[in-house]
Amino acid sequence: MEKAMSRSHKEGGVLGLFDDPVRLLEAVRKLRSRGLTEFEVFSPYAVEGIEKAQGLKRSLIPFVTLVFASLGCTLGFYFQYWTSVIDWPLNVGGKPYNSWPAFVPVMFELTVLAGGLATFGALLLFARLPNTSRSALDPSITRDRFAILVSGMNPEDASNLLTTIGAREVRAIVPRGWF
Amino acid sequence: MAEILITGGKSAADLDADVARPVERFPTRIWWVCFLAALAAFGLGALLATDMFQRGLGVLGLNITNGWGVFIVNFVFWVGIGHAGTLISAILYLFRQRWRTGINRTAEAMTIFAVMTALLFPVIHTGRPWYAIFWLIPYPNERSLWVNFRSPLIWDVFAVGTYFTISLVFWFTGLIPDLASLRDRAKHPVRKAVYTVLSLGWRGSSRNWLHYETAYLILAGLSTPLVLSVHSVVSFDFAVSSVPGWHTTIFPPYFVAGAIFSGFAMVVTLLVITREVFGLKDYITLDHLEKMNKILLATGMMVGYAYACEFFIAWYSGNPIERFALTNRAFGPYAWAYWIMVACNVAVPQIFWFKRARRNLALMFLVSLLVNIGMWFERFVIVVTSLHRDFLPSSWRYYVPTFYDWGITLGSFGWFFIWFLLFVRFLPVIAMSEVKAVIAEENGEGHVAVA
Amino acid sequence: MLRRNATHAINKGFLMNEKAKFKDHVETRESVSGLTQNRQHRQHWRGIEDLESKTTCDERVTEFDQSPFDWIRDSTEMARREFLTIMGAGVAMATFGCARRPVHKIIPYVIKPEEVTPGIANWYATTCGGCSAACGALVKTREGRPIKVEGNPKHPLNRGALCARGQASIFDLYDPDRLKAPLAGSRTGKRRQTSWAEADQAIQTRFKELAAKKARVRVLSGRSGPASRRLVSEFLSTFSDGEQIEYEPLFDDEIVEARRLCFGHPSIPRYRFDRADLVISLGADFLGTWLSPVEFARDWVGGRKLPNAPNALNGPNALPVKTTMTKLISFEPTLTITGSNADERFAIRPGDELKVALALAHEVVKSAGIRSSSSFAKNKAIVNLLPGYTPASVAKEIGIANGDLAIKRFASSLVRSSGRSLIIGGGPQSQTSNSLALQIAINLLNSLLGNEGVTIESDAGTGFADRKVGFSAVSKLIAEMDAGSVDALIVHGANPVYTIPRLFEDALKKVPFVIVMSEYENETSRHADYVLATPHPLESWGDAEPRPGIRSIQQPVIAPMHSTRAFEDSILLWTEVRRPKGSSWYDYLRSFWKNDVFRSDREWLWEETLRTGVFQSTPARAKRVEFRNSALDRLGPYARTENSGLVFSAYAKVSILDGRGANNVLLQELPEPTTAITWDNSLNIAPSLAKKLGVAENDVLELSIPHHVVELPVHIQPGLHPSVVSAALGYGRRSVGKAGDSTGVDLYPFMTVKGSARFYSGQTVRLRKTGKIYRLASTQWHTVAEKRPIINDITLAQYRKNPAASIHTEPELRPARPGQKLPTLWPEHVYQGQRWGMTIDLNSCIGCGSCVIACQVENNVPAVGRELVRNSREMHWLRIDRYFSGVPERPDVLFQPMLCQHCDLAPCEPVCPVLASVHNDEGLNLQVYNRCVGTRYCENNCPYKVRRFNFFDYWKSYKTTMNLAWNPDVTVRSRGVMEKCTFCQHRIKGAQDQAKDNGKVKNGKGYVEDGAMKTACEQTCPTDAIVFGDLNDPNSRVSKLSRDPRAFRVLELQNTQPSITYLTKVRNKDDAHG
Repeated sequence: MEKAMSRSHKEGGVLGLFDDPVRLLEAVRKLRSRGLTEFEVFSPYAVEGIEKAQGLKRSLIPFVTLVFASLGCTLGFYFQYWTSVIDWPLNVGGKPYNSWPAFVPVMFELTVLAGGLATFGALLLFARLPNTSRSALDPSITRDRFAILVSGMNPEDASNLLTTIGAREVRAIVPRGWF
Repeated sequence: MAEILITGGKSAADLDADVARPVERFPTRIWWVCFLAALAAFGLGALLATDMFQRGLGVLGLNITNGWGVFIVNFVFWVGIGHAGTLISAILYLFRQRWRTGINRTAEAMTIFAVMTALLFPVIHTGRPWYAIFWLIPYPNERSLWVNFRSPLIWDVFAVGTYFTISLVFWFTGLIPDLASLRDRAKHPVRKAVYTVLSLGWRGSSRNWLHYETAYLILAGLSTPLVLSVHSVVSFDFAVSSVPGWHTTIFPPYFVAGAIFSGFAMVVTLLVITREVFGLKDYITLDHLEKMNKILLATGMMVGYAYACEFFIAWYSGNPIERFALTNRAFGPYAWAYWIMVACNVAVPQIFWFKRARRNLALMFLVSLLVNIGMWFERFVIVVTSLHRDFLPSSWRYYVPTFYDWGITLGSFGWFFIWFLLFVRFLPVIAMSEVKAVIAEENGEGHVAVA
Repeated sequence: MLRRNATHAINKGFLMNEKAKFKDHVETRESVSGLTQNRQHRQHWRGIEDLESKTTCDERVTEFDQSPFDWIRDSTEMARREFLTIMGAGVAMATFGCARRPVHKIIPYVIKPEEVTPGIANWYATTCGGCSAACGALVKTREGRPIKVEGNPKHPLNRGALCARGQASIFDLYDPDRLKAPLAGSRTGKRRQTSWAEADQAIQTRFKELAAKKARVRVLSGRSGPASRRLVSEFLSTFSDGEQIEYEPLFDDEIVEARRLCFGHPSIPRYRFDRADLVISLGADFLGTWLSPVEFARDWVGGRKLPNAPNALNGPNALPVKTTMTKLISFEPTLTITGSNADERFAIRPGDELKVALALAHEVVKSAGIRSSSSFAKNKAIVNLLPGYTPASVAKEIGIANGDLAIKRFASSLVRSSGRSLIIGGGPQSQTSNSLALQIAINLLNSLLGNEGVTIESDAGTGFADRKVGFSAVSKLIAEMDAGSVDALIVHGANPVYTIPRLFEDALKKVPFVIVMSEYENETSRHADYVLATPHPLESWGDAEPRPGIRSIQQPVIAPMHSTRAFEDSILLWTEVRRPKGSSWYDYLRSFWKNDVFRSDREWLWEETLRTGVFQSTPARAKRVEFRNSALDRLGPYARTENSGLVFSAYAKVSILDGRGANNVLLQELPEPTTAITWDNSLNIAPSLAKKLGVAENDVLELSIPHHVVELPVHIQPGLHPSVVSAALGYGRRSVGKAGDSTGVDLYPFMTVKGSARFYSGQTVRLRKTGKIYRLASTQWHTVAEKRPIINDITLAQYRKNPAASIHTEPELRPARPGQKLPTLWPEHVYQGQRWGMTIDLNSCIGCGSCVIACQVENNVPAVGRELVRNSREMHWLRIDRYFSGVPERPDVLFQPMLCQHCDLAPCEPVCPVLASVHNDEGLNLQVYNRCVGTRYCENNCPYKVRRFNFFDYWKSYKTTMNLAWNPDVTVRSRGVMEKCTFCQHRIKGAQDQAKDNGKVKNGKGYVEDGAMKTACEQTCPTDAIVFGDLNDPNSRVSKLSRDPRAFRVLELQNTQPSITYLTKVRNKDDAHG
């Protein structure tokens, strides 16, 4: 999968455009049935079921979130404990140095903060974002059309293949880093 | 899912066109009028605040007994406003309320700006803001002093700070695909360049969508308890103290309910304007607004219940001082404020029992405004009436806000609307990619899109 | 370890330097006090009322930060030169053992005089100039500048205590509005500053001429010391007709006159409250303003103190405490602190005191079997006089509900305690046309009861026989002046144009040559040819004779700051008598004391007197004084007087008194104990009258008598007679200074003159609504305790049954048992070493307010001005709450000093986000000023509302010379910072350092013996109501008292565990009549 991804935007390929998600899904299934893996799917919104059709694995983001959230929680407590018990204990209103119930709100907030930021960070990492040097293969993709980019085949075969599986429009993409 | 969420048989392409129009066109006259008005209001506030910094807090109405006044009222008010956004986008998302798609972008934006406004007040209300702005943050300073983690004010710093950050992230994540489509529509090189950067080079590949959906879901999951926590923590400022009328365990839920209430009211106010001004009636439909009004009715009654409950607890506690605090609240020198609060928050929303009322734009606009006023006074009642007569009768006083209090309050509204107007000018006010899914589903391509 | 030092550093309260690391504790007292001084002398404020004016937010100044370089840069300023001059003066003075020498050059401080150690205070004994009572004072000077006046413990009058006026007098010394040089030509309108040489030249030639011809020269002064009187008489003897007249506006001439008539001995006797079991005051406010309040309060409270019961801890089950208390009964026209502290008080019309007195006499005589009165019983005059004055008729007339029973009761208890009772009367509020009669009646009563010579001692001293004292003398002077027969008049220490309106002013115009010697410009000086600036009492020599046998010395503690010259020095200069060359007033005084006081050549006597401040000798007791029936001719038989209208009663406030304190911001801002009003005088009327007239608080009413009309804002005051309106004298000054001018309304014009007597009260007045509103600046709006566990007062009977009784509060707001330990969620911190606490005995506190001022002066607490008091932003760290209970006609008044309670579980601390409010290891609740960011959360969460917030930069309100009044041991707070009582923590540290030096050390700290250190409020309290000490020492006074059955804590169930314990007030009245 990583190889495909990386190649897909280094090299060019042939782009087939579809008008609605149903055709797109069928096309993807067909491609997979022909044992083809080196293709990319693009859509204006998340099409349900596409990842199954394409056979993508689940995202790892939840684990990242879990790790960082629990880190935020524990470090949150330790920091409060350290400042108010170890580093400089002060008698504040007769409360014990380790007034742990008072530490809970901050612990919670730090949990969420760490978790949330980690999630976003992970998203950027996994989605290879930001990457502003590249851009949309076709402006209509972010509007209302769907596309499959087949790479690693010779253009004729690719375009034939795409038209047979029902692409409305087929176009060769010259590998260029910019729009 | 039978109901129609998008009217006028709009296609995804129309959607793009409609939503992007205000962004791609030169701003209308109304926009300029509003913007300048907001600017002027903020200017006044800033001017008064500057003078206040130079002379001291004495220019405000505060006194020995009333250590807090309008500024803290505003803080709580704005944080409260800030609740609807994340609530709509997170909680309704988890509950798969697809009708949220029409309004969540605006609501989230409102949240961000409301919190930005709220954050002004804790800083400027302190005696020495030029230190407060640093010293409330635990960093290793040259005196190796730390902060007091037992203080609710420190909890506030973390709670509101976190809430702001996470909301911002959540909001931006939602924006990425839409920014991408704005980029692809852009003709003007500068705009194209800007949106290219903002959209981080999003192309909408299925792999990205996969991670995107997961991240969005998790963020929603994280935001949900966060929303509930923020105003609970804000309520601790009062509940944790010993002041009669503040020292009560009902405050956290009471505050959260109030926050949602006021937040939704503000959303209604803003949406009614936005959909009129930008002609988005087909995406922000009456159905959306009716749903909002139902929530207003519900939360309004929760708040009413809280008011009643306070009295019961005070009576049940058997503590004469506590009893006095509540009696004084309703029948003391500030009775006027109390009854404004009750009228606006409990009585007025009852009109939404009637479907016709729920679907009447003018009426709901009026009601939402009244609710906002009522909720401001709720905070006023809580902060001021509890303080002005506490334990020792010898220090009972009366608090009267001054021109500075009001002027700076006005300024905060200016500040809020400046940001909001910039938002509607430069960013898509509707979550296009989400709505597209909905359209697709309604155009019969649904069967794949339905979860 | 480092931490401990850090907190230690905080404790020291020397957090002047923002840059200073909390950790480094090398900061010494010197460097700090140095810094304070430096920063003070570059500050010029903009006047109290200008506080609203724009002031730039100067980081350097806003913070406590101060780099030496600023100091050098600023050192070009005038203020600093002034300061150094005075420093030099201080040095010079200290070096020459306080002999006043003119300072010719600035003396650099590097040459340190042995007396002065920077950072260590020098104390000098002198006489307080606050009023004419002449209490003994100790003046605390730092680096040569006086910073506080305290009572002199060795002085027999005030025994260490001092009143509010005395405490505040330090501000008069530094008042920027003082006269700074002699003036000429005031009356001609061409007023100009002049030089002393020029003035002397003119004046001396004038006096030469006058001496030549048969001239009338008069000297009008306030009550002045023996030496000064002698000097003046010498001066006057050089003229063919010279007289000196002494006039104190509030002085009761009638007492002197009455004693002349009754005993042939014109004098003010010594009232022995310490010997009296029963005191009946007919109008006299002896605890606040009458004659010698501090002395009286101290004597009186002796008989009020309740024993510190040993079986305290048993609480209610404790054995009944057998005990007695001096009883105080008061009949008065306006509510004074004396009436407030009375066990039984009756509001009457001014003038009715006489009838009450005679009704009492009637009963006393009737009841047989009094030894001393047996002679009276057969006495013709009395038999003819008294019968009419039956309690029934009198009570009916003066309008006291079943007052006849009361009078009967009082009479019988008078008889019971004959010889141990004391009846007094006087003061402006009850000074009417029959005041003389009243005094005679009082003398009669005291003689009847055999109190003369026991509770009233008249000494065979000079008295007033050979002196021209009082209004009779003044009216004679006025007559002479009117006749145009006075050639020259010297006025000193008096302000007759203000205190004797119209009359004196008109007469003064007819005097060709007038010299006024005064510290301030005043109403009289406007009419003078020469206004000669005199120094403040703290700048000049003098002496006083408060009563025969007590000679009190007044020595300067700082060289005159302005071009002033003592009245006596001028007189010496002008006197045409041969004297050794260059002999000064100081030399004169010394020789006077040598010859007249010590009557011996022993030099050490003088030194000793300077050290102790007072010289005592036993005065010759008068032989048994016999009451002369002839005096009774002045009294008529009973006749019902029909006064249907409203009657006016003028009184003096403890703060402003006769108006002399008018320019003192501390006094102006001291809330009047009974009305809580600052900065103004109000028209006090009874609630019932207010209802009848339909007026509310702050409504402005027009008050008129035939010859004068004024407008005054209304204050509705419980405890007034429904047909009496009262207002305070001493306000509405016209030319005294920024603070005093046109503050309040002048009521001296209401003074009525009958023959050679003047009286302030008793006039029938008319009221008219004006429709105007004037907001009085009051510091307490709600005066009922609402049954909350804040105060506690019981009757003596209840106390005997159960000393721990608490009746006036909601039971569910009190702990089940007194001193019961309430459960806490957490293990409590333990305090090794000393732990500070305080007890305040509500039974002793008379609400006089001297602690409030003492605290302000000690802790650099600023006065904020009328407008900010209106906005409830007064800064008093220690305030006195007053609560009324009972019916508004006859309220029970209770005063409660309220200050930071230094709670163990302080609610203010956990809520502070930046740890500016924390506890130290001595149980003190600290406020770290330079850490505070001013969220005011602590203030909200403080149940006692004793924290004070700096809404503005108040220190800017200290004008040029006022900056010298700062106490260098106490941080000056900046804008935006919270502050509050520190338990005078700098004093604690001082005492600990001292103890350390003396080798008394316990766990690393100096151990302060019980009583070795006193807080400012405790030190000055005339009734010793406040006791401070170590709670961890079971035998310290404070821990004993806090175990007393009367002990309670405010809002105990809040479980804040205050370090301050209050002791229940006990009223000595039978419940039946209470």
